Amino acid sequence: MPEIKPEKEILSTEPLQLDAFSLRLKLALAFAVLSLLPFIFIAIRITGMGRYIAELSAKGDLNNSALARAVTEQSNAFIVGSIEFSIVFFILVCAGIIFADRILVGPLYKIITWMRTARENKFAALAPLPVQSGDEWGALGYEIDQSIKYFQEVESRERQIAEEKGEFISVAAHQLRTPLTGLKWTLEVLRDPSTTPESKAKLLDQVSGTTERMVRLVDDVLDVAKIEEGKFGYEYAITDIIGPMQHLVNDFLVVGKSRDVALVFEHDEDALPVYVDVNRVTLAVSNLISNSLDYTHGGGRITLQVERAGRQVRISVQDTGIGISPEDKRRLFTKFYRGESARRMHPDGSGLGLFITRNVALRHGGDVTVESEAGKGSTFSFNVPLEKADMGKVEVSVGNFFASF
Amino acid sequence: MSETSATDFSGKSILIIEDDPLLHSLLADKMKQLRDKGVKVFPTMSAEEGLKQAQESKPDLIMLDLVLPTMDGFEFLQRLRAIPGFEKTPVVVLSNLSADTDKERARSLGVIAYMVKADFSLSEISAAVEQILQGKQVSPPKPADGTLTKTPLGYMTYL
Repeated sequence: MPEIKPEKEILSTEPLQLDAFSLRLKLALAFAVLSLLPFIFIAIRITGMGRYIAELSAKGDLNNSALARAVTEQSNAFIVGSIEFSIVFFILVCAGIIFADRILVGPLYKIITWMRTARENKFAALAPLPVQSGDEWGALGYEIDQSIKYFQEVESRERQIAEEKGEFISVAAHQLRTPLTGLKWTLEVLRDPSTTPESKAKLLDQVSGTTERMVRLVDDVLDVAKIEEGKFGYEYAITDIIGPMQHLVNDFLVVGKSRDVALVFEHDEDALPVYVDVNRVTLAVSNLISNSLDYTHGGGRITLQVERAGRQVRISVQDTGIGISPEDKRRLFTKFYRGESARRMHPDGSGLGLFITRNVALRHGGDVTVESEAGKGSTFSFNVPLEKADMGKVEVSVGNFFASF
Repeated sequence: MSETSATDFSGKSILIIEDDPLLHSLLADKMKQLRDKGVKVFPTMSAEEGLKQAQESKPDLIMLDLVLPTMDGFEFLQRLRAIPGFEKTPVVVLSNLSADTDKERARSLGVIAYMVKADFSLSEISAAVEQILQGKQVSPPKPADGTLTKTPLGYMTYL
């Protein structure tokens, strides 16, 4: 898988240069000014005191030597005390600067460096979060980390969708080319005057099956596209389900006989009204039966069963086919996915049928359940409601294939 | 046709491996027209059957489909090349897979030509087969409208 490159380089390669008045510098300046404040204050007080002493001595009051000594001692003590206080204050301020830098600016720089590294690596390998503290920086780092992971997830999903689409196009091209080749070659033979009328008739028979296959493939592709866009509409009504299912089984009888697979329809009641889009349900069941036919060997048996289950009706298709391995079961309803043994037995399937069937089940308030044992056979079933009130919550996914998983 | 119609291919044989029933019968019927020139045709519907038939009849040319049930065409080629005497048997791939990776993989397994089925008519295929049986270096048939451009590997490529 080649790396997807944006048309224009979105990310700048140059880091943003911090201007001269970075946060760290501003903080240092503020603390420097603060630490000088006591010195200024003390200097003003000492100057004032000096002026007072000068005034006293001018008046001659300082001739009293005892008072003069006392004043000098007091002022000396004040000066020493002030200097001591200023030094202690300065040390406290320094500690304050370091502390503030540690808790405020330091983590910020760590987050910046971490994001810059992530960006330079195109967010490929995200380093663990640098700030684990429970404070606001920790919260900010967490939010950034989560946002990056969210967009990474979105991007990888988009890439997966793109890959699936690419795979689908190549599968569909192959699938369409094979019947088209059949048509092309058949026309060539029909046009050949040496072809006998008997072989012409035989060819025309064969070719009609081929065109049917193409029509079905194109229908499936369009249905899947509609599901993806959220435009696969449903028209629910109270309708009998037994009649349409009987018709469906009858339609498959010829193919079943040609492959020596018995088709059985089991139902308790002759008519059973349910609240469904009968065309969609018929399509879903038809996909299940045609899958079972493809993966059941001659001599096998397929049973379609319609039975009441409380306020629901359970529709199930059981076969004695090749079964599904546990790992295939997990991806079974993914578009275009085809099990290993399925690909081996029928290389031409499109891998779209079950995706459509599951959408039908979901839109009737249920889901498709699968019971299967490799080599023994599989049972696919889903429920439809008797009345509108019995329908479970219907998840309608619009344009998001992942919302249904 | 006038040049090749006189050619005698007696003793030559072709093995066909194609699983799609319609394509199988069309291709087999077309190749059987070469019987008049002495070519024996062995049509088979799976790679397993093809391997067995190849060892029995030692064909001069194998026409191989790639997407086959149980064993695909690539695996067939790997197994065939491992059998003594089949290292150089000419194989023409006739498949509707057209990805470059598939063509490269077939090329690495020593096929002499890779033809995308949908791009050729039965007569073109038949003409190419005749030329290969004559041991000729074959130029790719010209597209009918002359405007189609095909990748070198999309055409018949002789390796």
